Amino acid sequence: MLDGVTRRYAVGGAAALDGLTVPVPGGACLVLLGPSGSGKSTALRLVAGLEPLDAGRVLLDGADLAGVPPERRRMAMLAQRPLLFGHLSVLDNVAFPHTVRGVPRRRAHADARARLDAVGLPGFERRRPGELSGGQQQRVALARALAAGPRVLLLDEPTTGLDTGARAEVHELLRRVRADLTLLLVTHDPVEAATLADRPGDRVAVLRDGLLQQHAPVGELYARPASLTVARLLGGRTEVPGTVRAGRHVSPLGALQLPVPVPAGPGVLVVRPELVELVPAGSGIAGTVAEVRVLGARALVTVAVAGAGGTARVHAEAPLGRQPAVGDPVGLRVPVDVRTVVPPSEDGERQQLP
Amino acid sequence: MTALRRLTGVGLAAWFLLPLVPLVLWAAADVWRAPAALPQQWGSSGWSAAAAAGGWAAAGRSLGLAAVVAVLGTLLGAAAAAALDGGRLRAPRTITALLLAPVALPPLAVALGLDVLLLRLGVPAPVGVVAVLTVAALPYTTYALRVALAGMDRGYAEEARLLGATPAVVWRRVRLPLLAPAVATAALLAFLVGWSDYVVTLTVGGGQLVTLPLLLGSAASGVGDEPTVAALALSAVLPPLAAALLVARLARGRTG
Amino acid sequence: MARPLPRPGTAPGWPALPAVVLVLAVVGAGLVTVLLQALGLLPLIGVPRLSGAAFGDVGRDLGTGTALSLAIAAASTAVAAVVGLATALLLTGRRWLGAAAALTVPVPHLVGAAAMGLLLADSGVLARWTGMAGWPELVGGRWWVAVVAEYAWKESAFVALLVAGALAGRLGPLRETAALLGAGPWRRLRHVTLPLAAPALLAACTISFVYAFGSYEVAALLGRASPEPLPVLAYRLSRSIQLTERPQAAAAAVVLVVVGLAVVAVAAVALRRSLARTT
Repeated sequence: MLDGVTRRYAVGGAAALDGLTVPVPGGACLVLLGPSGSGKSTALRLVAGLEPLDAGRVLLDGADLAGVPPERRRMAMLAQRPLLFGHLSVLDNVAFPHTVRGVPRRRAHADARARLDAVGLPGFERRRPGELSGGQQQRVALARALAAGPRVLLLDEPTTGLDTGARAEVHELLRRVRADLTLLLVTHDPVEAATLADRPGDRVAVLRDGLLQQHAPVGELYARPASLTVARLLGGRTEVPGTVRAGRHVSPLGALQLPVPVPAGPGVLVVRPELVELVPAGSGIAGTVAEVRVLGARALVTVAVAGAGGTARVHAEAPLGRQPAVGDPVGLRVPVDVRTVVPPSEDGERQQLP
Repeated sequence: MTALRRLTGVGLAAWFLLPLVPLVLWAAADVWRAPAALPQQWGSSGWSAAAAAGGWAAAGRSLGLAAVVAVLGTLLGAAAAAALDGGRLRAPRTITALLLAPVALPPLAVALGLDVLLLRLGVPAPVGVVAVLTVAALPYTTYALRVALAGMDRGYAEEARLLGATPAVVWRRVRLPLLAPAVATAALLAFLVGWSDYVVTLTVGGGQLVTLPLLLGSAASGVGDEPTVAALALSAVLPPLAAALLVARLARGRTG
Repeated sequence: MARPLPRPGTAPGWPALPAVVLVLAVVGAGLVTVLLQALGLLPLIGVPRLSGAAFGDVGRDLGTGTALSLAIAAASTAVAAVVGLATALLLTGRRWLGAAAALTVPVPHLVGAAAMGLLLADSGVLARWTGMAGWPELVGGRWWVAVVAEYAWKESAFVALLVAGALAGRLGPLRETAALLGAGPWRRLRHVTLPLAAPALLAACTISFVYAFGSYEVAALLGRASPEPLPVLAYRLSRSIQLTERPQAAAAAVVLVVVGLAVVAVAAVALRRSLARTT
């Protein structure tokens, strides 16, 4: 549990992390998601005890960790770089947590061997870390972190330095070894967040400029972003400014019924491109295709809709080969339940948990 | 723990600074009879005595010797480092070992041999001193520049070529400026070798080349003239210290 | 056509020639002359004749001189290693400590010797400040304290800067990782910091040791007249007006070189092992 955690790097300066409060239920995964400079890595270092807190508390099972040095917190970290000890063999790296706790060599090595098997690297015991590929090194680092018997596993952009294949391997491995471990993952990648925080109790906390933007299950972030920042961070593209009046969002797209009550006033309609349906011209909201971009197996179609008060641009996805051409008249259908309205300023409302 | 660390830090700083304190005190003392903790009479008699003993001329000779060693050591070291970096050299490991070997050899042993030989060959003593000291400086210059060349990101040079610079322009506008701090460091190290030497100048120089260390050596082996010793010693510290500060500033300006 | 970009493997090798020739000429000529002289093949007067007499004539002095020089070098290097390592590890966040260490680097050893004399002699500044009656004989005494102190002082700064440079940027993240894996401060020192510092420490100590072993002026200025460390013996014999002592001086110089190279050879093997472990 993080309670009002604050960190300033200069006296009186802007906080790198400002009053962050999020619960992390035991056995669950909490993702800190944000762009670089959002304070998410700082949060992890504060939890680990690698940096002092300026305010707030870090609680583990109700006990304040203030004054507990990193080596007694039982929190292992898997960082962006594997940080294996170059002067030790792969086996001795994995046995390191046992060695420094005075476990007899034979038992330490037996456990380390089992952990190397578990991460799919049997037979690598005698190798030097420098002889391994990046993905293999990161798997050794994971085996080493697990050998420490952590209560919380801290993951600081654990796959950022890896290529696509190795990244998938590490993700798969993390899902497999997770069991009852509490995970705290820092990432800028919403896909990674979604991959690792897929159990019922898992949550994502979105940070920007040291402030919490939203704290919710990953599906809700996609469906109901709380602010423009969250919507953009998760790859949302369509942003239609307008006004909310009597439960409807009024814009060039028309007066659209909203699924949940929203206070009246200016608001931006955000809709994910994959949830917008392209229909033949004549039905739905009438528009003209302004741009088509191919994104792998799908195409992103930008539709300009002229209406009262100007032109709005709405993005939709179509399977590759079935996309319309630029200039085609098309119809758009935006289902009621995917319509979300966020405040027009980027920060939105600061989210506070009860 | 932190208190212990701070205390250790202060103790270590004292270890480095304490030996310099008597130099400063004695250089500013005219009369300092034991057991007083501070001089009874402050003054500059040590400096006058040092000047009268030929301090200025000796400092000039030291500066000249150090400058020549710095220039020769840096030039030869830079050429060797560039050749080693080029990778077309045969037996690069042997050559590296050979150029670094003088670090492991006592200069006195080499000087004792050359002393006899140069006398027989009729080579002027200062030439011999410069040759031995340049060899003593080469390990430092070669190593410093070799490391700098190896660590230089080739991306800058390639980017410059793609932006339209010819190889000559790349050297002048990109590589040399990037190497400037390392060249300055190498020159400083060679300067220090030339400036600090005592035994080679004494042996090979055969008394013809009276540098500041030689003057200091003869003053310090006598007794009872502490102000002169301190003044000579301080004058042997200040020029290399100034050079070191200059190089440090240059290096910081480049990276910052 | 544009010439290709400069690549490794295209710079010529000949620029290394002047440096190589100079080193070979100076070191080669110096060492060969010393060796020939020591073996009686290059007498200043008389007929050249191969003989080991020069070594035999001063055999005892060579033995004690070598032992004494090795002891002085070992003691000063040990102190420099401990002080230098401690300094390197405490440098982060203490710029003044780095400045204090760096200040001693441009100080010539001879100046260091003069300073140690003014500091440690029985009428020195420390004796005056402490007001101690019967100040121990640190300069020119039995235990060569001032000589060891001067080498240790200069070389500790050298060790500190070399080790700090080698650790810069590498140590922090690995120490943090070790802490998160459960290693307390002492375990981190033993299992992470010391192994990482070992290669640079070993290299710095080797250079310091060989320097202290083969250098003349500090021992000549701050030591006692007898027994003589090897370099002092070699220099005194070489200046002797008795020309028969010149081969003996050369013999001392030969021992100086051989022992020095042997130390470096041993250290090089250890360094290679230590490097193989850390990279």
